[in-house]
Amino acid sequence: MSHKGSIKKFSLINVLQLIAQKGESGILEINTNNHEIKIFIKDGNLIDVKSSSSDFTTKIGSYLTSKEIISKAKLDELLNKQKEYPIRFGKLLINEKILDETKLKEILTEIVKENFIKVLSIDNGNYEFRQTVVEYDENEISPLNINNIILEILKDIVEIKFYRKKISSFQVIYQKEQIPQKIVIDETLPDKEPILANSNIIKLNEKTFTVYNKVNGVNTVSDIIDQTGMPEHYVLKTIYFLAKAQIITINRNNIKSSRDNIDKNISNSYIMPAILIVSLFITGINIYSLKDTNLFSITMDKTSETSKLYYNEQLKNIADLLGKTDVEKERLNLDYNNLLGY
Amino acid sequence: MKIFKTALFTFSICFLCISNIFAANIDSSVGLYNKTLKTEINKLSNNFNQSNIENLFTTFLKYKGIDDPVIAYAVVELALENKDLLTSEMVENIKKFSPSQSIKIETMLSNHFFTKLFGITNYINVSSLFTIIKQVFGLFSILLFVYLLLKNFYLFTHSHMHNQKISFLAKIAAFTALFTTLLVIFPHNQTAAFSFMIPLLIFSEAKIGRYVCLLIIFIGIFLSSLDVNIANNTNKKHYVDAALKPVSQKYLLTLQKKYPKDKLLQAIIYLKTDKSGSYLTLPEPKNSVEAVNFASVYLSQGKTDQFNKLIKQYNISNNPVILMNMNTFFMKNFMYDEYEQNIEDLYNHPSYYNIFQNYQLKFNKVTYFPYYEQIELITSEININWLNTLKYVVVFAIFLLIHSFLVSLKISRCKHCGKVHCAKCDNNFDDGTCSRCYDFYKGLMESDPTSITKKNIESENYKAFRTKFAFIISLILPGSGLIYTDNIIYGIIMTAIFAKVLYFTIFGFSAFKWPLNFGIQYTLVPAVTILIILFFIIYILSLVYLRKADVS
Repeated sequence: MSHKGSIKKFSLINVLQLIAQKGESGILEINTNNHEIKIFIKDGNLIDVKSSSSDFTTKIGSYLTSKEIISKAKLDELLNKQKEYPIRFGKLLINEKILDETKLKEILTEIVKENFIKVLSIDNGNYEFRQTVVEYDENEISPLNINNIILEILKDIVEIKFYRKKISSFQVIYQKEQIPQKIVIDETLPDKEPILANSNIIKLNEKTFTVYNKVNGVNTVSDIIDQTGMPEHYVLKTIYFLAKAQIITINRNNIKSSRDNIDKNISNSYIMPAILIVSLFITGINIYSLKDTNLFSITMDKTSETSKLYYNEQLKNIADLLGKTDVEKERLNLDYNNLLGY
Repeated sequence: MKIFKTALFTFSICFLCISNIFAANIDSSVGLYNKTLKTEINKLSNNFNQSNIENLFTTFLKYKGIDDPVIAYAVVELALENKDLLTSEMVENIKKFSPSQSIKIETMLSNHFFTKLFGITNYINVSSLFTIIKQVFGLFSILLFVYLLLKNFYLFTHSHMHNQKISFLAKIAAFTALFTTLLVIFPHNQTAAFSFMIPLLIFSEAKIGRYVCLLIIFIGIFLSSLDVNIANNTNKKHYVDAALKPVSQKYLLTLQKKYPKDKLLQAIIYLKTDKSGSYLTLPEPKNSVEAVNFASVYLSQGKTDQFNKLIKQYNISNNPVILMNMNTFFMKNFMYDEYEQNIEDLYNHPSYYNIFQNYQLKFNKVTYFPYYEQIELITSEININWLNTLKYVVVFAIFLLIHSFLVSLKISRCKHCGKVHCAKCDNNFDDGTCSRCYDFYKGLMESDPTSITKKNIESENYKAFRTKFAFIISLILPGSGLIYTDNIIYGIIMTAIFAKVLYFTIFGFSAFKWPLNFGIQYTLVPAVTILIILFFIIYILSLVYLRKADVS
């Protein structure tokens, strides 16, 4: 691998996997038309991501407000304070007792990971890796294993393939089933097992509940992915679990018709078995008709046999004139089979 | 008396039977050539040199040989056995035995690569050309069918039916039924079944590639529907033998007995056996060949009025044999001025001039020659059987309709993510991109960065798989990788060259097997060598392309 090059030719994932495998330390600089990004790596682990653009960096203030840890007003107040006392924003949060050191470290690490994932989406521009010593504050950041992050993303792709097979088409429409149990939200349920059902209640985590709400007998799977804004693999997985728990079922009465109804007739479930039977019948008759035909010979034109006859006759005349023996007749230089003579 | 009659009757019966047996076998018991000529060939065989070739040619002339491919090729065979001793002078002498085969003989005995290479044109006739086109097209169709099936197998697997397995089986069964039906319709042209099925498998190709492919298939199918007819000329063989070959007197007598009423043959034999002055009545000639021979007979008998009448009537004054025989007449009658004027006209027919001049030089006399054109034993011509051709065209039209239906379904595999989609389950884009990838790559979709990354990885993985798969199948089946990666036109070219190489590997040079097409290999080996080199160059270039290029 060269330490600099085009992202189109050698994707960032490959570059980072290689750096991680070698356990190298340094700064990976990425330049696109609009952005300059630096990824700090120490011993193959991710330390920090910095960018000139807000597209690839989430500020801690924005993160805290989006998670509703602090309000917008409180954020403004803290920013004003920071202007008066030039200290780092993280230190200010600890001083204000909004976060303790451990929580701050967790959040900062999570932000670095999110930023890193955003950077992985870059598919053009150039990269350059400069080997250098990278220092970081151990109290603020936990180094992250680059391979683990990439594997996590790749795992999602494997999941997508798996659930795509389970859900045959993005055009399938599901509907809610009338069930005796009560449905409640349980935020503690992990994404791995988002549904917990017993005889009285069915617990769903918040994301699963959002997907469940979008199932209305009209929306297709594709619509649900678009409307929830959740990752494709997660929506597919959730629908699969909901269908498996028989909370939702396929709405067969409202299969969305195609744009031009070309396959309207084929959709009829009786046609294919009928085609199968008729085709097998025709094939059977055909095979019976062909039983006397030599299918594995390429038919020669009628001229071939005649021309061979006279060719051989004239070749024999030549051989006879030369007084050749039977063995010698087979090896005449003139004969087209005698390539060795050439 | 009764006993005498019975004995006479039995004797007569026995005599008739025995004489019939002898008469029946007389042709095979009498050799075509004189013993002297065979002895000369034997001498040449034992000691291949210029002097013996000349001796053989002298004997050839002695028996008024004009053009005998069998003797010529016999000498060529000896020349090939003694290639180290062969000189250009010898080659020129060998060509004299058969002026009609001189170009082929020169090609065969040449040491120049390009002379041999371009000599191929002398071996091609309607039959061989047509056989090669049909059989190469057959192999091409089989290969293209397999390649397209490999690429578009998802046609069978993609379905919106509730029962996917039944749908898959029904499609396979329908496809097989169509295929076997074609085999039943065209039992003597099995490869036609593959050709007709190809339009069903090119539904996902881009327009230009699809049209080019359909055009090639149509032309191939049309050519397959034509027949090659042959005309057998063996009934004229005895004229050729008598007029052009240095045959023995005994053989000529045999012919004379066999065809007692054939006046043309009688005239030829008359001229060949130097019976000048003897009596031979001839009728009015039916054609110019008879006219030339009859006129020559009249000339040899000194009947110049009848000779002049036929010359005027049939306008044969420029016939080379007439010119030769007129010169003979002038020489025999000491008309040297007329001879000098007439000999210049014979320069326009070098092969006949050589015969005349050599005869005069070697034997110090002149003689009358018979006339007949050197003909091929069999000749071929293309024959359009309109009913058969119509059958092919109608079946092709039906398959074209099915093709149009399949195209309207817009089934294709997304080149970015590999997802199979059709008009029913996706928006359709002509370049084979699924709607999600289209939105994604056109920036129409608001995606979170994680999704973008995943999409990129998914796309890269698919492209990597596609490239590897195309490369691997190309290694085994040249051309298949190009077709798999949507380079249909390049794929067709590669497949056509591969089909041709495959054809020569399977069938060798048998398509060129034709009377007097001896030594085909001397011109075909260079041609096939160039074809194989060309094939390997294109094959390697295609592999490099598949390995390096972004095949999506």
